[in-house]
Amino acid sequence: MTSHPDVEALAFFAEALLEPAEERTVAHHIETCATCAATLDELTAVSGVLAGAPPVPPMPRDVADLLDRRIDEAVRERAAGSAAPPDAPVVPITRARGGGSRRGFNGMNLPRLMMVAAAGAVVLGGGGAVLNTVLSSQQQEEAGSASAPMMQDEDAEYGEPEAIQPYKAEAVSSGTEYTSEGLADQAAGVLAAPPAPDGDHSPAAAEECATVFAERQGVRVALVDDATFDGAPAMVLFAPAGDDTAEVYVVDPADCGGVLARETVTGP
Amino acid sequence: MDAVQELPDRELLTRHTQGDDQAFAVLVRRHRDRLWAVAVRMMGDPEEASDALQDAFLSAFRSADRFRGESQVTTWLHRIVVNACHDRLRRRKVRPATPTEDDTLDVLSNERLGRSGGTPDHASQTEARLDVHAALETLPLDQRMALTLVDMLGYRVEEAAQILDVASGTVKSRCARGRAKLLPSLAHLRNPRPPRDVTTGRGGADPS
Repeated sequence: MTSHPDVEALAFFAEALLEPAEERTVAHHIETCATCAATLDELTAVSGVLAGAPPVPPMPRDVADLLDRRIDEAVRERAAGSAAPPDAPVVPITRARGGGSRRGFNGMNLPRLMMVAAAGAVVLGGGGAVLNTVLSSQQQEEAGSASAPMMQDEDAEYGEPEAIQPYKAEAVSSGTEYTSEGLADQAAGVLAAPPAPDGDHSPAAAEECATVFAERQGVRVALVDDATFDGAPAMVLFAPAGDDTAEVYVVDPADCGGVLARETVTGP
Repeated sequence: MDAVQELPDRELLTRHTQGDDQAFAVLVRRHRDRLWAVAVRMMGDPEEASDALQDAFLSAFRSADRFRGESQVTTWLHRIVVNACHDRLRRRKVRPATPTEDDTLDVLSNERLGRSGGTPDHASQTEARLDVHAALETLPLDQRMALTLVDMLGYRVEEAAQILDVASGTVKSRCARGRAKLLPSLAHLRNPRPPRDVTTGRGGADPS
């Protein structure tokens, strides 16, 4: 090696993540390079600095009480059997304490949280466009046509491979309260009549959820509905599956990994 | 009152899903100090940690019946807490008031210079904590979360991998990238004199 490995390569070396050939090169280099050997030591020191942060003080009493109260409320809601309990906004601990400004949040925390907690207000993109995206992987330009053909995996003409690859799921908020029993019909309904754009809210969470899920599961998510499922916030993801069908996955928005429910629906 | 307190985690979760009113609170109380530490480290702020824990516990409360028993209940709880923190950190990232990386680093160096007359004492400890937190803020979330779990909180790579729901190698590479990025802003805390690169562009100094 005629030049120093960069810091990241050294960090990878320290974790034994390099390919064997590169690892040998770096190992050899370090033996003869005091600078890089020192950098390697410093990387260890970074871990030491992080580990050496003062311990977290125990949970304050008022936080513990607040959490207990929230759980009590949840228990009562459940006992009351409300099918779709309102998703109460987070109570900032300063508010629970009765005052004070929230450091770093400039008071915008609560409204934002309420917005998120409202679970169903994330929209971007138009109805017709959304439908097309879901139903058609080949970007057929039958704008708004509710009968645009579904993606067909095998016999479709893959004219533009790159039309398949990079995509971003359309994020909508249909306001649908999905349920275990009604999922198939509800999903088909949303597919048939995607909600109109709203534009008030950031769809980032829904989009990211779709991206995360798509990566993990290796599917293509065309539409994500920020909604509720059996009363709890949920992301409902639509993935074109060919033959006029779409796979519908309901995932926990806190996780975007685990599938809470799954259904195959046929396009309108 | 039967000895709910004595029941294993999994049994508590099962009872909760069957309608037991006490089980979930018992479960959460059992683990909340650890989860609190995780949330505080992730958020860097007790108030935001409190918010994130509320999110997480309510989410766990509602989704308990979807716990499939593939992991420990504690791992599952950690995952939910970490995900709740992740959501909040992500939202915070798009907050307009968020200082840019450069601003953060400027503030850091100013604070350091301003206090340079002092001896290594309480003030410098506070300073170090600020440094660590601000430096972590400059990392991509994935790296920050992996480093927080592994380096700050001392979870094993395998545990962190389960919590984050990624492969162990992914945790390692996120940590490695994160450490490399943190090096310029943190190494001085342990190593006051960064080595000078006397041999820039050339293959190394004489071995001795």
